[in-house]
Amino acid sequence: MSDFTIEVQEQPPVWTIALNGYLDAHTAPRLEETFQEMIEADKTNLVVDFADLEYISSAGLGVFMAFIEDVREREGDIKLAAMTPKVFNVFDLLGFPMLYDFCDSTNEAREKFIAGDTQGAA
Amino acid sequence: MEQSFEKSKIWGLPEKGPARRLLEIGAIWLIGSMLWIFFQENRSLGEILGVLLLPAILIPLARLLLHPGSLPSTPEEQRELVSSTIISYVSTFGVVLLALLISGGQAGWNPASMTILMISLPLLYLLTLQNRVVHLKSGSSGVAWFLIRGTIVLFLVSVFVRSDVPPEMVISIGFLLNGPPIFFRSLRNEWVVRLERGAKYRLLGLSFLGVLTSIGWLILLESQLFSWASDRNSPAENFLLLMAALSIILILSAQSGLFFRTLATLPTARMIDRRQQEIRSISDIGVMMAGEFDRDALLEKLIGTAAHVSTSELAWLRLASGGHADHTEGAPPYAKRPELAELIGQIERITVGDRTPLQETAQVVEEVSLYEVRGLQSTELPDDSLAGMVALVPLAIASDRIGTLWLYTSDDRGYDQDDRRVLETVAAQISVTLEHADLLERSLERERLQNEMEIAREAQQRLLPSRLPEVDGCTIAATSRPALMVGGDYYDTITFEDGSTGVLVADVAGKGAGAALYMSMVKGVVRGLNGRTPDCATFLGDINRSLYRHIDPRFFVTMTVARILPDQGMVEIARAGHTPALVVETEATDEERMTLLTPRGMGLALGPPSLFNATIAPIFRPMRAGTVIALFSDGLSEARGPERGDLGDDGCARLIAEVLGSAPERDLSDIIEEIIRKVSTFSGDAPQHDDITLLLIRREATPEPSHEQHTSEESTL
Repeated sequence: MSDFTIEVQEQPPVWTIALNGYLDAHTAPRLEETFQEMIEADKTNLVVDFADLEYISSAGLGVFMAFIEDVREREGDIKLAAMTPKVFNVFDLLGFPMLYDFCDSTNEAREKFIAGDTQGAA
Repeated sequence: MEQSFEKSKIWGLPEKGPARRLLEIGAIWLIGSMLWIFFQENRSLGEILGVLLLPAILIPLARLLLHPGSLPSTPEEQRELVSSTIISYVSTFGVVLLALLISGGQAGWNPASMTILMISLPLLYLLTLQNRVVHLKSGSSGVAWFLIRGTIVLFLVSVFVRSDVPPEMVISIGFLLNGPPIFFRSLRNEWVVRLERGAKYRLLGLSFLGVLTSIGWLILLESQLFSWASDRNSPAENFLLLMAALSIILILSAQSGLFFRTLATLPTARMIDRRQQEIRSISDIGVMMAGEFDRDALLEKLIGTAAHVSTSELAWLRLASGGHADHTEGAPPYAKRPELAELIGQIERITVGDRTPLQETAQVVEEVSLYEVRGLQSTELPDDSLAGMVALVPLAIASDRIGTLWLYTSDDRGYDQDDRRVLETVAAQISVTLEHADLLERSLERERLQNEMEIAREAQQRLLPSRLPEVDGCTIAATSRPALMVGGDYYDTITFEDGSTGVLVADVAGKGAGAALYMSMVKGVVRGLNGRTPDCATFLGDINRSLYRHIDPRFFVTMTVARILPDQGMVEIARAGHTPALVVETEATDEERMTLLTPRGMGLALGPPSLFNATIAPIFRPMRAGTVIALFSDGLSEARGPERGDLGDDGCARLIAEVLGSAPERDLSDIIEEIIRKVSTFSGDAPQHDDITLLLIRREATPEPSHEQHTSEESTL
């Protein structure tokens, strides 16, 4: 279950967090750590690239819930981009589209940030 | 067979070999001489006493041969050897003295009593020491025995055939034949080397005494007996006297060999002692480790052992903790005299250059470091200062320095190379012991945690309803299996305001202890709403209101609730982010057999009531006889196969429908068991990665009499 990698692409004012592999209870703490570091560095315009994420469990979903408020309080946002239908289905079942801004591609998310749209879907 | 074996054990007879032969010779000799004495005309008191004493001494001595051929290797055997030698000498001299007193007092050198002495002395000797000195366990012992036997034949010839040969000459030949081989044989007694120093000194004294005694006896034979023997004695008497002389020759040769051998090993005695002490202390440590589980008590004993083997006056342990300054652990220091303990602080503060010995040797993991100390102040000797030597012995496990064993001695000798070697050995044992104690502690801790988790698991299982109600023609069965000891899945039944019954399955995000704690919180909220909530949507909304901002957002909760409405033949299903519910019509055709229902609704505790409530959209679904509704957690639908990936919602639905279709009338619990079994088969060796919960509700075919009206209604459906 350790087939999970995180890659951060710095393109200020937007930071893209690309996920790869399995995000579950074992690997979730690593993503939490990444979010923590970003927020501490005041990098709050965050795009999460799901293109290469194969699987996400409820513990993985929890990570996004843990940080969304912090990020929004700092006038930033977490935009979820480029999801496969399978992963999107998990988010959809939970009603995440009401809470987060889902974008088709990382570019779209990036452009939204640049256009000043830091508010989520809700 | 068995009896004779037992007998030989009681008498301590060697089973076979030279030891047994010697005993037989001795026994025949004894019987012969007793007969001979009794048939003499004038029997003195000395003769009778001698005859009586002999067996009394011989039998216990014969028992010393209980261990034929064994060389002393343990301290007990060494002590036994030395004490048996002492017994033989004391007994011999006792008999000699007694006989001399009695016979001398009566008629000077009585030939008969002299003969007894001549017989008893060598016989006693042979019996006690033959096994270790005369009888030897190698090829040359055969030669020695051959020579002894040859000499006996020579004696027989000289007495009975060639009586003109002077006895002195015969004895000289006997001496030349037997002395050197026995002497050199005796010189090679390796067991002497391994004796303790004290035992060596005793053995040296005893063998010297043996040499002196046998020389004395030879002189006695030379000066008196042969002059007397040559003119008066019968050939048989002469033969016995010659045999006595032979025995004395054997004693002399063997004892002088032993004497020189012992003498030669004395310079190494201290080293041997130390090695013995080392071996003993290491075996002591083994015994301690087996018998002592209290770490501090164990350390105390180990420190004492280290001090003892190095003859130190002070010994104490400092264990490193995480690379920081050393600190003492529980175990008190060893001090030969309690007042000495006050020196520890002074010793540790001494400096070499600007560093303490501990700082200077911090990187050392193997060698003992020595420091001279001077000017130590002791209240014991207020006017004087103490000096001495300090040894720092590193304790290490796999090149990691784990602590230091400090030792102090005021002995001028300090710590020599042997001391250091012994200390290194003991320190290695201490390190291993500490490691073992730590491992034990850790495994005990693990066991304690295991027990606590077991208790938590039981407590959590008790949070689940032990019995599910049978309501309005529906049977309900459920199971929940955490992936770890405890989990975040939960199922329950509730009653709505109007008395209708609902079932629910919930899943706290994540798994393990954190999820389990929130799961019990969810249960509390659910029970609080029991009987007070009008419908599914309100129910979920109330739960969300209770949980939102009250739980860590990471541990959001998903739930599906199904409310059975028998009057309408319907079921109301509402979902809060949970996996879809499955409806299986067991009596329908294949195409419309199973339906996955996904009513709209977001997860609990994800959003504020205003947002959450707006998302909840329950679905109403007819429930006929044979309709089965399955609520499950994602642990079931996301069960991972070794290669094939997830089971998936559809795969899961097909699997459940298949089991239901194969035997629609079966007991629901059995069906659940089979579904779980099939999921396990699908997962193969892969570990269960999330909690699995499955709940089934089935509308039974047989209507209850009180609901006849509904039954007719249903039949039209």
